[in-house]
Amino acid sequence: MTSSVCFRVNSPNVIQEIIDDEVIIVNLDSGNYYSLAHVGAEIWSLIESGAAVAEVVNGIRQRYDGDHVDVEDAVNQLVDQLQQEALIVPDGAKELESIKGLDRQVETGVETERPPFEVPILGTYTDMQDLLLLDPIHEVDETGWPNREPDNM
Amino acid sequence: MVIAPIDQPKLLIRGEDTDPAGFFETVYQAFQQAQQVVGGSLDRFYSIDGHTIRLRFAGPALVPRITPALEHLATGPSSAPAFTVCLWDSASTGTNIPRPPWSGYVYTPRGDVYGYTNDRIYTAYHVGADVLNLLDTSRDLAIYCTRDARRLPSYETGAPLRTILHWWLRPYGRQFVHGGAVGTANGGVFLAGKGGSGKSTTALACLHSELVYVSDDYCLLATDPVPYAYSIYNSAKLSPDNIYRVPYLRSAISNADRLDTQKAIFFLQQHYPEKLVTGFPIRAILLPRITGRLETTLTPASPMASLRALVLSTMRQLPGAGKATLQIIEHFIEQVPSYHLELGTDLAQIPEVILGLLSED
Repeated sequence: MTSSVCFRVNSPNVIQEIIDDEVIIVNLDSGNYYSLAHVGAEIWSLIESGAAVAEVVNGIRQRYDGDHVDVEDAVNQLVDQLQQEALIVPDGAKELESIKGLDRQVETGVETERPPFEVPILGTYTDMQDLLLLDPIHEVDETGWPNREPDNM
Repeated sequence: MVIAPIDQPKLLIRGEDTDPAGFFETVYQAFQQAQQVVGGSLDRFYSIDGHTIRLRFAGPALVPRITPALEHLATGPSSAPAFTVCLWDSASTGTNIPRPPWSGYVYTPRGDVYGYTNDRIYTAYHVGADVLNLLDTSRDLAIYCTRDARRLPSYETGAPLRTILHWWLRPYGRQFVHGGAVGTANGGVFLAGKGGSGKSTTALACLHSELVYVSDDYCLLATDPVPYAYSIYNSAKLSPDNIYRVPYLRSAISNADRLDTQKAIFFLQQHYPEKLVTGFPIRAILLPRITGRLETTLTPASPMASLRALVLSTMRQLPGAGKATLQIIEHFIEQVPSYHLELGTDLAQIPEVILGLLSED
């Protein structure tokens, strides 16, 4: 993945909120519901703020104690996952701006006491999936409306 | 039988040439035709959060299917209601719902019809209930139609017009939500959780206590200036397997002949009118969960637990619910504490625990 690539939240199809160190994300198109906690929530916040992938890696390394390669791999993996789930999309407009600030960001790393880095996990809940996905109605009656028995609950 | 094409699933979605306003007008003309067929309309008026809402029925078939759940909000006729909903069914009026201008994969289980909602016109079709809902926000005019009033499922008669009320009330800062509420005139608790979590059991267990009743399943939330729950329906529903827990309600079941396929529906206005209130401020959110133990207790819950319970169960049911709904629910959750209500088998303890919580400072 190119480290200068920036992303944005794939709104309006994706809604998200950060609460208590946890991000909840709902993809209204796919019907999936996601959560990211701790490191994952911070990565999400950095992405949302327009940081390039390299800036996200640097930002996380400033906050957590971890091997650069491990952090980079984990960030890249999460970004790939978020893209695959259509939660974020590349933002070309921000990329150029980010390239200019990349060196500065890399050099501003400070060494303070930091918690250990843990690989972020994208929690995926499919509770909503069956409920929001398009309903495959195959048969219609002569009026053009779906021919289904009313259900009960 | 006409078989819609399925080999090329098609979304009538953004960017395609659709005409929501034209479809609304076509359906409205069908309602007017239905009125002519049956010789006029029957009007009923209800007051929700200070708004007078007129239900205009083309013929009587839908009246007993729609109005019992709203009866506690009935009010006198008004020549200038804030909102009018036109209702008819095809079977009793001989007037078909106009053919949909879409085809293929356009419906979601929560009712969205892709491509037929814009800033002015909202469209939803509930496949299970066979109900078409339309709203023209510029005219404060909605349409509710179905092919056969007699075939409306019990969940629809117990909580009718959910989608239309959700759409119309949202600009007033009121959010239709999936959840119940019980309390006192000074304040109450909001009950959140998906179906089967124990909301109805909790709400119905409070009928024989000091607590009053707003809802077991759906209500209208406000967050400004204080969190507040408004009653929309006086109905309650319970799985037939759980009726033994509330034996005093056995005689109040409205659909006793259909419990093999439906939940039991109770219209509390007919049996417990003194327990119904139009609303109260919310002091806490309770997330019921059935434990199998004897005692009922409270344990603190995280705001995230409430958010998940409310967002998931609300958004899955309301066409068009998105970020605005999420934000109102988030604000609501920020305003009050959350608890897990660990439901015990001794139902008498449930209102005691809730009253104990409400009596705290």
